[in-house]
Amino acid sequence: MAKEQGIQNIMNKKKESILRITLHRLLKNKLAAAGFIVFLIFVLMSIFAPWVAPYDYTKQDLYNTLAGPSAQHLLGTDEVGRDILSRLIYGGRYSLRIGLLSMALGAGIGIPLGAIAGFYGKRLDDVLMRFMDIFQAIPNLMLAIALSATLGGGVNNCILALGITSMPAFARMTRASILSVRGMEYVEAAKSTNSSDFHTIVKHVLPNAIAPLLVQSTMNVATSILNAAALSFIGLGVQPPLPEWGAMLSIGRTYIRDHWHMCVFPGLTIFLNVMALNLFGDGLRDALDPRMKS
Amino acid sequence: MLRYILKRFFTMIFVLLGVALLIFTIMWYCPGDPARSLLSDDATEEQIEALREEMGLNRPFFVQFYDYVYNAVVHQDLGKSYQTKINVATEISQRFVSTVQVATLAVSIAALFGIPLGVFAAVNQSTWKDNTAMAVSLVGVSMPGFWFGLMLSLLFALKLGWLPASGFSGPQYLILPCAAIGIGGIGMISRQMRSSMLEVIRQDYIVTARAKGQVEWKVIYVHAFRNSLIPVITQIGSMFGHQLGGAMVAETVFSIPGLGTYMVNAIKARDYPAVRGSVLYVALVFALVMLAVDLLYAFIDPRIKAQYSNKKKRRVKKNG
Amino acid sequence: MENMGKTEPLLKVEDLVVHYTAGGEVIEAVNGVSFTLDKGETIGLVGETGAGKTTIVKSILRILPDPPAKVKSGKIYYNGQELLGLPEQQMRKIRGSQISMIFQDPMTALNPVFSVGDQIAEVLKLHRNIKKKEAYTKVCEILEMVGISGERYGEYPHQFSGGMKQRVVIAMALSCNPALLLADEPTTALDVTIQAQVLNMMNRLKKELGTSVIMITHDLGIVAAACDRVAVVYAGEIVEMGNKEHIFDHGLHPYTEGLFHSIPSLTGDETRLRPIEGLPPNPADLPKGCNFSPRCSYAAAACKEGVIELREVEPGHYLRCNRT
Repeated sequence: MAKEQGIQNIMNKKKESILRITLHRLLKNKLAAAGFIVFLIFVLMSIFAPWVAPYDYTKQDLYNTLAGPSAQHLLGTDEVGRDILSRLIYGGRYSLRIGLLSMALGAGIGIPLGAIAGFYGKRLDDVLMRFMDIFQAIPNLMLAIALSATLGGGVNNCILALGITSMPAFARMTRASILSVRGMEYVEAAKSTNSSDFHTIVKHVLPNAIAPLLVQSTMNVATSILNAAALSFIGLGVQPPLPEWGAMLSIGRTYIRDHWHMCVFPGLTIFLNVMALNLFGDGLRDALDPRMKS
Repeated sequence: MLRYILKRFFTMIFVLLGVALLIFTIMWYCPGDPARSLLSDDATEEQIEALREEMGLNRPFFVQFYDYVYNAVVHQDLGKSYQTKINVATEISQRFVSTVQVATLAVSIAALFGIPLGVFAAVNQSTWKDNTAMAVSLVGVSMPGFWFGLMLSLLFALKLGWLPASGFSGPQYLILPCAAIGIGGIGMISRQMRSSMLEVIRQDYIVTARAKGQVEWKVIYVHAFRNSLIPVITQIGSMFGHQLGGAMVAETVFSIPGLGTYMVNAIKARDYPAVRGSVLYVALVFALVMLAVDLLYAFIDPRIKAQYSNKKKRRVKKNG
Repeated sequence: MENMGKTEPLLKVEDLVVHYTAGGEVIEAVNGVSFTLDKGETIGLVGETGAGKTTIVKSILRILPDPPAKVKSGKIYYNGQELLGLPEQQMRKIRGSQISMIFQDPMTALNPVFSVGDQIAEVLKLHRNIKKKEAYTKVCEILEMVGISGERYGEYPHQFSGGMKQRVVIAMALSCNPALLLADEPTTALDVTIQAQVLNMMNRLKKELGTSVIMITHDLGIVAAACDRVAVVYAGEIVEMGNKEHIFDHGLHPYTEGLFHSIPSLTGDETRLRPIEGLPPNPADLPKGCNFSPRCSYAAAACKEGVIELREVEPGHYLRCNRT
């Protein structure tokens, strides 16, 4: 009895220590930590926008249009005198919401589908993967554009469109993880000791599959933010006067010659957000990699 | 080998049919009535209905679908644009040329710069050279292509006047758009190349090569490189699709009359044939590129090649 | 085969010390190893995984992974020439032609995208001034020598079984007729029946070509079948060295004793196996005094401190122990 308890203790310690090692490695990686913090700052700024933004983002000031950066308006004003900094802060709400929710949607549909395909194999696997093939035969952005056509513009439709385009990648990745683990001996060992299907998946297969999926999710948020901005930029996603960063760029484009600040700042914001996420995603991937980097 | 090609070809056809079905379904649920938007505002209901009959819009889903596919395959006819009444296929093929040019050039730039950058980073792992190279790649991957295009255009066209800001009638018009979307590609390829190289350099057969007395540069650039190239090649193929999308957005920035602007306008005008045709066209080209890449991949990796050639039979007899 | 200095030994390793630095820790992989090898001799390096055998052998060829591993001190003489201080260019000339290595895992030792023939030819082209046509013929000869049909020149590694792959690796190593062959557990990854085949082939070639061999193994049976002398390695040191009779018939070191007792006997009535108690020491944190003392049933107080030298207890038989 004591021996079993002893073994259980060792196993628990192992689970703890994997989590601890990962966290430890992640924190050691200064860049990744910085990326996470920067992204967190952006998220917090958009959540607390009413308190953080210096002005009301809809407030027009027709005496002060197209002004460059100044002490009053740190990032200048746009074509109807609205403060760009405030608009960017509020804009975060759209971009980040779209990024996070579309990733959640894509993962929410893709992961279970991939898991089913990987675990049950044969016919089901074939059918599901053909289905994914069809989606992946159309370049992502194009599919998002086409979906936007039917769904229309607006934040929620953007989330739906981008979520659907993200789905195949999650499905494939889950399926691949499951297939690779399925072949391994410890799953056979588990099966031989009579654990149920569900039990096997949860205890043995999922922990292995989680690592690449976590990384994929992070990178996916970054790509979704970029794609949402692109959609809004060409007029299909979030429409002006909403302060989505891509939409702001699309307006700014008309004034680029003499008032370049309208283009630089929204784009810079997108860039910083995406880069912060990518840094964190990279760090996450390195931390979860069981092999030492050197 | 031939079996492999044929098999892939048939898969491709199947997938394209699926794409056609998918896009047909997506357009089917698109709100708005094309007939209504074509006629002027004071058209009567009878007139709208008559136009709908004429356009065949009242037939059931599968009839319209079958008709569409039949025309597409047998007559290469993708329908006429609702707006311009011109054959969609003709318009698209004209427009598509510019988009493809930009995308292809961008992919080539990405490969040309990305591969050496990745190798450089891998060989100098964990030094400042590696970190700088990866920083550059990270910037490339995080950069919104259309914004970078705007910035490049601002600097080189508007401020410095070295390059044209818009239009598309010569090679100099290609430079800025390709740079704008190519930078993302460089980032992606160099990151993949680096991780691939690092993986390969760890392998036993690399140590074997050194133990044979081989010169270090050959160990890296002949032994390691060929093996690391394999996953990168697959990535380049899928990147083509990515660049096609990017090119479509870049068209807005640089006022290039390509497929992107065509499609966006078609969507806004509910011009179904134009949208369907565009998607199918792109899917076809993309699928062909992926097929070509897969074949190249099979060519480079003898393990894949052997899987599909007759050597299989011989091997079973001789091995023992 | 005593090495009393009549002729210069082919290989002389003197006080080799190799450290690995990983994550701030220093791992003392090899701690003052010395031995010699005469022409035509085969010496077996026996010991558990992690004892430092592979590191010793890789140091001879200077193919240790350089960021973590570093040769701290020591000298290696091959035919009188010191290797560790040699410029890289000259060392390259020696690798593959004078000294070759066979690796443990044949499944990963060959480059998957080149044909086996080309990989063997590469060694020839590197060290002999030889034209393509000639190289082709020579490679076919070499393949026949290891029992592979010359027609398989153009085939790829994945088309061969494990045993055949190892033969290709051996062919590659012996193609330039090296004077010294470093074999790192060449048969460990193979089936038992194939093991015998490959070993026999190696023995035959060894005699034909007059190659001296350092054979790393943890299998005492292979030592008995293939080696003239044996060096027992433990925690980066040679704890006992001698010819087969010395080690097999009257091994003196407690670890050697333990190794032989670990083998179940087919004669006699065994009810339990007798493993050596305890685990090998952590090379990042070696015990004071004798490395084996924590596990040694004969350990005395004197064993736990100071340095214990390798002493010659009878002609050709060396021991690193306080006993006797």
